Amino acid sequence: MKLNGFVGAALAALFVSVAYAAPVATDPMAEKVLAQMSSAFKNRAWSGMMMYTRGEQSVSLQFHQDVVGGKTIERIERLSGDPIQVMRRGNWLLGLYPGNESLRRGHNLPTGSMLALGQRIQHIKNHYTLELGAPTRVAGRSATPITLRANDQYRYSRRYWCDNETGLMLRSQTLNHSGSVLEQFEFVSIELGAPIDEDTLVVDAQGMQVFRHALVENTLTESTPIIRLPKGFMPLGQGAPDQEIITHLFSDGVALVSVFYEQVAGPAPEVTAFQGPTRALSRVLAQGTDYFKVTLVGEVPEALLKGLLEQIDTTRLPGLIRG
Amino acid sequence: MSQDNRDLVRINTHMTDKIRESLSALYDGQADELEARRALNEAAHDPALADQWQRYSMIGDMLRQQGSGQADIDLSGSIMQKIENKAVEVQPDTTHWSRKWFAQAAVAAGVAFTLLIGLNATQDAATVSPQLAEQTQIQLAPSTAANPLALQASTIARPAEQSPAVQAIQAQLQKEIQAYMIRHAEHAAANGQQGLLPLARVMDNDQESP
Repeated sequence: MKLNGFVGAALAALFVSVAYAAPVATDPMAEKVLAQMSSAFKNRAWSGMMMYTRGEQSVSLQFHQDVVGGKTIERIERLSGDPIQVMRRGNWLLGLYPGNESLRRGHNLPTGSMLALGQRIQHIKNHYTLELGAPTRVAGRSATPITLRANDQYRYSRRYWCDNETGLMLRSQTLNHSGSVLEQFEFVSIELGAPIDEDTLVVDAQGMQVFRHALVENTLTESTPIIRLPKGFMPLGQGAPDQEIITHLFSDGVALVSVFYEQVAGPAPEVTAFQGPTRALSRVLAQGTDYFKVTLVGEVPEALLKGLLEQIDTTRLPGLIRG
Repeated sequence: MSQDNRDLVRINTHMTDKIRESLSALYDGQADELEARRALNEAAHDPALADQWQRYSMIGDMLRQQGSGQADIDLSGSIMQKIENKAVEVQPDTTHWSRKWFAQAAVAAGVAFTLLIGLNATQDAATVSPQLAEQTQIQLAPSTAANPLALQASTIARPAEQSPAVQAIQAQLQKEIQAYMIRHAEHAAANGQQGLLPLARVMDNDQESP
C-alpha cells in the first residue's frame, strides 16, 4: 500500500513536471508579435468571415469593424441558422434577433480598465511562456504563430496566428493541459484596410428585436469577498452595486472570470457545466440564516473556479448584496 | 457621408419614421386627431404601411392582453432613436434575471447550448428541499469525459429513469447556468482585447429561432 502510494506520488510528480515544466525564457520576438496583435484588433478597419469550432459544432460568422472618429464600431453576424447580429457602438452593445420590431432594455455590462499594453504583456509573461512558431498561411495570408503556454494549472494555454503584415489575429486556439484543442476561431477570409460599406455598420432593425445593453466602466476595487485571488488574477470590473445580482470580473491578462453573487431562498445542489474551455460552477453558501448563490464562469480550468470559491469569505456576502 | 449621417438607421425603406411613430402612437392612444388621420391616410395608400399598421395592431392587442408583463417592449417610436437616447425610459422588468438573460439570448436567438451539467451529490441531502434532495441522491451523471471535444452535440448526461420532477429541476438549473455563461460571454466581449469574438461561443448553434 505504501509502495502504491509512493508510486502514485512519483507518477503525480512526474506528470506535474512534464505538464508544468519550469518555464523557459519567453521569446522576445513572440512578445513583440503579441503586442502587435493586441493593438491591431481594435485600431484598424477590417472585415472577414470566421469559423468558430468547438468539438463537432461549428458556426460561421461575419465580422466587420471600422474606426470612426476614433471610436471602434464592430458588428458580428451569424451566417448559419438565423441571422443573429451583435453590434458594439460607443457605450452600447446591441443584440439584434429576428422577431417583432421592438427595443428591449438589456442589462448593464461592467467594463474595467486593463493594464496598459506594455504592463499587461509583462504581467502575462509572469504566468505564460511565450513561444514563437514557424510562419505559415491562414486565410490566404502569411501568419506567425505564437503560443502562450500556461505556467500552472490555473489557466489554459493559447495559440495565436498573427498576420505578418498587420498583426491581426487570424486564428486562435485554446488548449487544455494535455495539449488538446478545446476551441478554435479561424478567419477563412479577411479584408484589411478597404473602406467598409457604410450600410454595413448601421443598425438595420427592420424585422428585428433589439436588445440594448449599456457598457458601464466601473473598476473593481477592494469590495470583493474573495480573500486571496489565484496567482496572476487581478480585479477588473464590477457591476453596479444596486443590482439584483452583483458581478465581479477578474483577469490574468488573457483569461476572464466572471463571478456572480445573489441572495437565494435556501440551499441548492452545486452545479457544474462546461462547453469547450468555458467552465461554470455554482454553489449556494450559507451565512447565518441567509443563503447566497455564487456562480463563477470563465475560460479557465475547473481547479481555478474551485480555488476562487474556497477563498470566499461568507461573512462579507450580506454586506456585498445589501450594499 | 458625415458621422451623424452614418449614425442614422434605415429601419424601413418604405416608410418614414414619422409615419411609423404616428401609427404606433395611435395604438398607444397618444396620437392627436390630425396625426392619426394623416397616418391612416398614408397607410391606406401604401401597402407597406398597411402591413405595418396590421402588425402594430396585433402587437398592440397582445400587449394590452398581457398588461405590464411586457413592460420592456417599446414600440412607440424609432428604435434607433431610442437606442441612441441614453435617457430612454423603460419600466422595470420584474422577470427573474436568469430567465430574462436566457430569454434574451435563447428565445430570441435560438441559442441552445451543448453543455454537460453535473450536480454535486456531496451536499447534505437533509438540508435541501425534497425534490432537490432526490436530485442530489440520484447522482445525475456529471461529466466524466476528459476532453469536451469528444462530446456529441446536445449531449446532456442523464439517466433514463429520471422522474419528470427531476427533469424539470435539471432543465431549470441548466437554463440558469446557461444564462450565466451568456452573460460571461458578453463580459468577455466588452472587456477583452478581441472585440466581439468571444460572443461566438454563445452563437455556435444550428438551431433556428422559435
